[in-house]
Formats: sequence, structure tokens, C-alpha cells
Amino acid sequence: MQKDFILITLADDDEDDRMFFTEAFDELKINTIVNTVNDGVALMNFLQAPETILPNIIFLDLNMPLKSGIECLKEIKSNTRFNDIVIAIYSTSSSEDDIENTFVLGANIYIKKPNNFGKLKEVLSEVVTLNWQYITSGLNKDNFLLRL
Amino acid sequence: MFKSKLFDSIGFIRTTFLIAFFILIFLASITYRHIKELDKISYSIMNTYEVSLELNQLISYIKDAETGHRGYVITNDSIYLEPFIDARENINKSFQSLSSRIDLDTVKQKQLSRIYDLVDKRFYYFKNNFSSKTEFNNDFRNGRIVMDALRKEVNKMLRNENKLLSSKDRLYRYNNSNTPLIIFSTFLISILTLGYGYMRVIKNYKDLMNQNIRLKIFDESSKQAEILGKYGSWVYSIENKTFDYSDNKFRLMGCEPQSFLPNSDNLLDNIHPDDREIIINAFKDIEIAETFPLLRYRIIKKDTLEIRHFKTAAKFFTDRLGNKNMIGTTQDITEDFNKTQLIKLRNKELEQNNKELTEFNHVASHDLQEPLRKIQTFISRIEDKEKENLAETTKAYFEKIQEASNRMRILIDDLLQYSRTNRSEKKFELTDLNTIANNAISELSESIKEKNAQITFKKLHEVNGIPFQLEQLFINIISNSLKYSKPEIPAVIAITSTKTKAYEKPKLKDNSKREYIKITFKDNGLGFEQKYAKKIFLLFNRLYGKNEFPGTGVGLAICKKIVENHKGYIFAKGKPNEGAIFEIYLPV
Amino acid sequence: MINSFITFTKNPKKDTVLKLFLKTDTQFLIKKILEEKLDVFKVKYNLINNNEILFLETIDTETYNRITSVLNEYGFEIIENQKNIIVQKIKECIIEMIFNDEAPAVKSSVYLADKLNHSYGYLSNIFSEVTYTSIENFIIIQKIEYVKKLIIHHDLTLTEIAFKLNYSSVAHLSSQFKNTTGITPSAFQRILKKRVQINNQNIN
Repeated sequence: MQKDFILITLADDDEDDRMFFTEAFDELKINTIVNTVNDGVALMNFLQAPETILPNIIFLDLNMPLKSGIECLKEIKSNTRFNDIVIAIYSTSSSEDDIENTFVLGANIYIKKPNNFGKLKEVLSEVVTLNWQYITSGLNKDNFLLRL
Repeated sequence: MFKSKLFDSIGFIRTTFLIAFFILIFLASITYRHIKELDKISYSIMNTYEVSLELNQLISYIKDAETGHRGYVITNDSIYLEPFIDARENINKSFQSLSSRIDLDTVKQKQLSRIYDLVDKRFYYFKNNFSSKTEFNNDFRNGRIVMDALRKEVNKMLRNENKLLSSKDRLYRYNNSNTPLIIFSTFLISILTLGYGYMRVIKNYKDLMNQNIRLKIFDESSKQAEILGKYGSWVYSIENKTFDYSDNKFRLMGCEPQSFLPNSDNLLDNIHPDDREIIINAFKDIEIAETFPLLRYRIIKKDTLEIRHFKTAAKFFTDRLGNKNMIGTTQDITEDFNKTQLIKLRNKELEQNNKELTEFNHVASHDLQEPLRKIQTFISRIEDKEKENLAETTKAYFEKIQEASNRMRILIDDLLQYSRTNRSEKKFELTDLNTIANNAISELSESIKEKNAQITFKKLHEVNGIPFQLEQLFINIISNSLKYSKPEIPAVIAITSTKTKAYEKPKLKDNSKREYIKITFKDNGLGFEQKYAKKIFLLFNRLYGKNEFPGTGVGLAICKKIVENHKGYIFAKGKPNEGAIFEIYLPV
Repeated sequence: MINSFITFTKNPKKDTVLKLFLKTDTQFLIKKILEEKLDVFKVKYNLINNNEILFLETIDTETYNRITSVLNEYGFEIIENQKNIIVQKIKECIIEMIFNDEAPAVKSSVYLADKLNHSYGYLSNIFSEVTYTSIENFIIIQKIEYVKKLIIHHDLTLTEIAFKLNYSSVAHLSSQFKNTTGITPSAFQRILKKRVQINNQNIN
């Protein structure tokens, strides 16, 4: 189990947010490999590249230039190759409509970006732990819905 | 209606006159027959009369001959023979005229021939030379006997004729007495019939005149109405392809009334070029379809070259002669059109402004979140890592920054919530206020515990509303009461609901019987001066300084917004230090 | 768990160069190899995932050694960890406890300690160490998972589910569901229904 790394990809156009994200995982004592892309197009290119090792969890910002998080979500969900990837929406919006819509489109997790670094660490840790349970304890990923 | 009555009476008059005509023909034929008959009778009477006259003449001629003969015999003077010779001639003439008069009647003919024989016999006895006295005496005697027989025969014939005459006279009299009665009565009938017919004609004529006057009045008033209402009427003959325009129809088109003969060829002349297609399509296949759509099109006025908007409706009808026609009305709707355009434009502008405003509000509050979140996250980073290393004053400044950013967070969150009550989908459903109250209380459980508050509600009504907005409404009002509760005593908030009708509550300014659910929130908190009752619902309006009570002045504005979204009313009543009452009226 | 990218460069003749790009599904590959190798031993097993094999019968030491050596040839390393075994047992015990309609009358801690013959504190420590989560949390996760299943497949009302899973009230169930997943049970139900609708639309 020590060999197992959880592969995490974040798609967010905001540099500071990417920084908070990677720093938070650095400080968390979980075996994760985090890589980040700057927008939706880059994310889809990364996922579709043949040499890519598919991540376990993708964190998706909704509001991105070129290709929005929703578009990415739809594309990922329509490709069976990405079936095993857990999608976490990572957005500033706390609109109920947005949240429900992304869940309906197949997102597993909805995270409203916290305004406190400690809180961010807490949230990310919870996501990874719960995800771990889904991987190791034979839970039905289709029922995996989490809002933080 | 009156039309059919008129046509009925025309039929009636026609039959009346027909009857009178036939009666008169009948009358004429009867009269003719009677006159013809009378003529015949009078002729035969004349005949009879003349026969008897001629017979008498005959007798008198014989007498003359007798007298002349006697004179001669006595005197032997030939002068007496003259009448005797004349008599013979006259008698022949008489017989000729008699036989011509009675040549058809064989009985009379026989009688006449008998008379003739007797006359002949008589004349046999008229001899000039008597051989003897006895001969003379015998002759005289025989002459006497023949004469008597003749006389008898003539008398018989005369009697016969007289008898005939009197019977014919009777018939003549009889006929004469019936004829006038028949003629008079039939004449009377025909006069009566004609008279009745005349009366009817006069009556109908009067009716017609009245109708005519009324029609004229109507026509005049409709002409005025056409001018006032800016419409014109027209009739289109489908067969002839010609129009009959009312005066005002010409005026609407900017022409002198009846200044030209409208037909299908000049129909399109002043129609706006872009709208000609509409007219062409409407008149196409008109004979078969027998329908005419409601048209809206533009024309160019002939005199002023101004563009006007017209609306035309038409209906088909077939007249008594079987001609297909169309009767239509065309109205100048330019003013209405312009007004609607203006209203539409204003509405659109208003909608646009409103949309922009909510959009602005949303975008502003939403986009402000991003940098603020970063500021706060960086603050938390510094707090975690560096706070202990800061100098005391810097630390104090740092805490100020933290406070200010927290307050900004609350403000933005509230604003966002406010804008969301406008933007979110408005799905109304039957909502149980008890559930709403329960949810609100559990949502506020922490601060309720903290304030040691007691919130009571019992059997609240159901309303038609947006559940999450109603929940927000309850949360905001309850938390407002909790916030402004008296610190020394536990807060008590009572929620009640009643059903009421609009006209029972004058402050709703609605006199209808519309039903409302009135929800009342009563607390025992700090209350407020009644003069602020309206102000507290305004956005960013606060009655207390933010240091006394934290808040943004958005909470109650959201409440007002939510209530307005539900087409309801919200009122506040307050007394300083006694508490506040919030009344919400939501339509059932 | 790690995908690899292999490029073969075949060069049978000097003048023709054939280059094949291959993409492998390592997950599938691992599964296939494990199944092939394990089937030889004719033992009942269950591939929990590509990291864990659960043997459904007792295995003697000889067979165990043969299995380890065969798997080692293919680069599989057997992690012999007593802790893992205990954690696995705890998980099984919890799942059995929850999915069994006859709920145990005792507290879960007592139930587990009793069943596994270890002190609860010991079990709890090992569990947290291996799974990054606590037994209590794991129980809740599993319970909520069961609630989800019941909501989706059995058309039960929340009241019925609360009763079935021994919750003191619907409110308790609802709040635990919301605390664990961040959404209310009714929202969960609604989202899943909408997902089904979208899938049906896509199929049609």
C-alpha cells in the first residue's frame, strides 16, 4: 500500500488557486501526485494524450477560458475510457443550480473553494480519504456524491 | 328581418292583384255572354213584333180588297178596283216579308202557307162578272166563310206570336234583372280586393319609407362612425372584380370620396410595396376558399404620401340573385400600432434594464468573491505561518484586515443571496409551512441554543410558494428576531398563521375577495420605532450601528423580495423595548 | 494502477521500418494475469481489486509459497501484513453488521471487539493507520452507502429506511446523510433520477 499514489489533476486557470491546491496537498500526509493544467483545453489534451497515466481524481474549476468545467465534465463523462476517474468540481460558485447541475451531469464531488487555507486542507483530505474508501471498500462509485 | 316581411307583402300584393285581374276577366266574359243573349232575345222579339204587324197589315189589305171589290160590284165603277189591285200586290209583298222572317220556323211556315191558301181562296171569290145573282150570293157567302177562316187563322197565328213575345219578354226581363246583380257583385269584389291591395301597398310603402329614413339615419351615423373610428367599409363583387368603397375608405387612402372606380386592377396602387404580397395572397383563390384572413398591412396615402397601418377583415355573402360578394371593413390602426410599438419598446427597455441590474448585481457580488477569497486565504496562510513573528502593532493591523475582509465576505454573501432571490427558477408548489418552520429552526439551531430562545408554532397553513425561498424567509425573520433579542431574557418567538380575505385588511389596498394566508412572527425583543417600519426592508438599511449589532441590512430586504416574488405583502410593527411583529400575507 | 506506454520498433528487414503504437490497459492486464495464474491452483478466491486477493478457503503453506513465487515472477510483490488482514476483517465485520437486517443489540465497538477478539482500541488504531479513516467514520460511510442503495433500489421512504437502519429519527438520518455527503437524501434521490433520465435520453 505504501507504493500506492493517488493521482490528482487540477484544472484551474487561476495561478494562486493552483498554488494553494498544491501547497495544501504538500502539507497533507497523503501519498498523492498532483499535477495541474491551466484550462479546460489543456486538461482534455492531457487526458487524451496516449502517454498519459489517467488520474484518480480530477478537480475541475467551472469558470475557465476556452473550455468551461461543465464542457470538460460532459466530455469526460461521454468517454468510457475515463469511467474510473472521480470528478470533483472545484468552484467559487455556491449556486444551488450549479451544484445540482454538475452532480446530474456526473460529477461526484462539489467543493466550494474555501476562503481559508486550513479549511482547504481539511476539505481536500476528506475528499481523498472518502475516495480511498470507494476504491478499497467496494463502494458503488455511481452513488458517490459529496458536497463540501 | 324586415327584409323578409317586405318580400312577403310584395307576394301578397301580387296575389291580390292577380285575383282582381281574374275576377275582372270573369266579369267581362259574363257581361259579354249576357249582352249577346239579350241581343238575341231582342232580335226575336222584334221579329215576333214585326210578324204580328205584317199579319194585321195582311188582314187590312184583304179588307181593303174586299171593300174595293164590293164598291166595284155595286157601282161597277172601275175606280173601286184600284185598291183591290193594289191589295193583291201588297199582300204578296207582305207574304214575302213574312216568309223571310219566319223561314226557319216550320210550324209557322205551315201556318203561313195555310193563310196563303185561304187568301188565295178568298181572292177566287172576288169576281168581276157574276153570272147570276145566286152565284153572286154564293160567292159572297163563300167569300164570307173564307174570310172568317182566314181571320181565324191569322188570329191564331197572332195569338201564337203574342204568346211567344210574352215568353221571350219574360226571359228578357229575367235576364235583365240577374245580370246587374252578378256584374255588380263581382265588380264589388274586385273593387274590394283592389282596395285591400291598395291599402297594403300604401302601408308597405309607408313602412318602406320609415325603413328608408331609418336606413338613412343609420347610414349617416355609420358614416360619422367611420370618420371617428377611422375605418371604411367596402363590398367586393367576386364576379365583376370590382369594389364599392364607402366615402371614408377613400378618405383613409387619401383620396376624394368616389374619385375613382376601385377594382382588382388598381387595388394594389397605394399599398406599401413590401406589403403587396399580403394583399395578393389574401385575394388569391378567394372564389374557392371563401375565406378571408385578417390582414395587417401598410399603405401610402395618396395625398400626403404618409405611411399608415391598416387592418382589414371581410366576410363572404351571396345575395338573392346568387352573386358572390364580400363585405369588408378596413381600419386605420396607425395610432394603436404606434402606441403598441412604443409600449413594446418601453417594456423591452425596462426588461433589459432590470436584467442588466440583476446581472450586474450577480456578477459584481460573484466576481468580488474571487479576490476576496484569495485575500482571506493568504490571510490564513500568514496567520498560520507568520503571525507569531509579527510586531504587536502589525499584528493589530493584521487583525483589522482580517475583520474587514470577514465583513466584506458577509456583505458579498448577502448580496449574492439577494440577487439569487431574483434569478433563481421560480417553481411554485404547495408547501407546508410547518415543514418550512422546522427546517428554518434546525438551520438556526446553534444560535437558538446560544440565545436560549424559544420558538413556537402550531398547525400552520399550506401555501403555494417556492419552498427554498420560503425557508430563507423564515430563517431571515427568525434570525433577525434572535439578533435583536434582549440579552437579559430568553427570546420568545411565536409563529401563527390565519386565512383572511383581501378586503378585510385595508392595508393591502385590495378590495377583492382574494384569499391570503397571514403569517405572523411575534417576538419579545428590542423592537423599533414604528416610523422605521418601512425603512427596515430597504437594502443596506440598518437601525443600529454595525458595532452594536453585526449585519449588512440585506436580510429583511431579501424577505421583502421573497414576499414580492410570491405576490404577497410584508409589514412590520414595532415598539421600542417591547418587541416586533412581522406580518406576511401570501396569496392562497 | 499505473498505465504504461510501450513502443515496439520492429525491424525485420533493413529497408522496411514498421512502428506499432500500442496502448495497454494495465488494469485489465493485471486482472488477466492474476486470474490465469491463480486458476491453476484450483482454489476459490475473489479479486477484490488488483491489489487485493481474498481467498475463500484455507490455503496450506506449500500452495501459498507456490502462489507467491508465481506472482513474484510477474513482478507482483506480496505484502504480508497482519494489519491488512485485521483491517480487512474489521471491514467485513462492519459490512455484515450493517447489511444484516437483524441489527446487533450491542454497540458496534463491543460487537467488533467481541467478534475479532481484540480490544476495540487496538482495532481502531490499526484501522486508522491503514485506511486514513476511523472505524466510526467507516461505519457511517457504509451505513450511508446502504441508505443510498435503499433509496435507489427499494423505493423506501426515509421513515422506513430510518427504522430499518436503527436510526432514532428521520431527522437524525437526514442530518447524518447531509453531514456525510453534503446533500440531503431528497436531493440525492433527485440527482440520481435526473441522471437516469439523461442516460435514457442518450440511449434513445
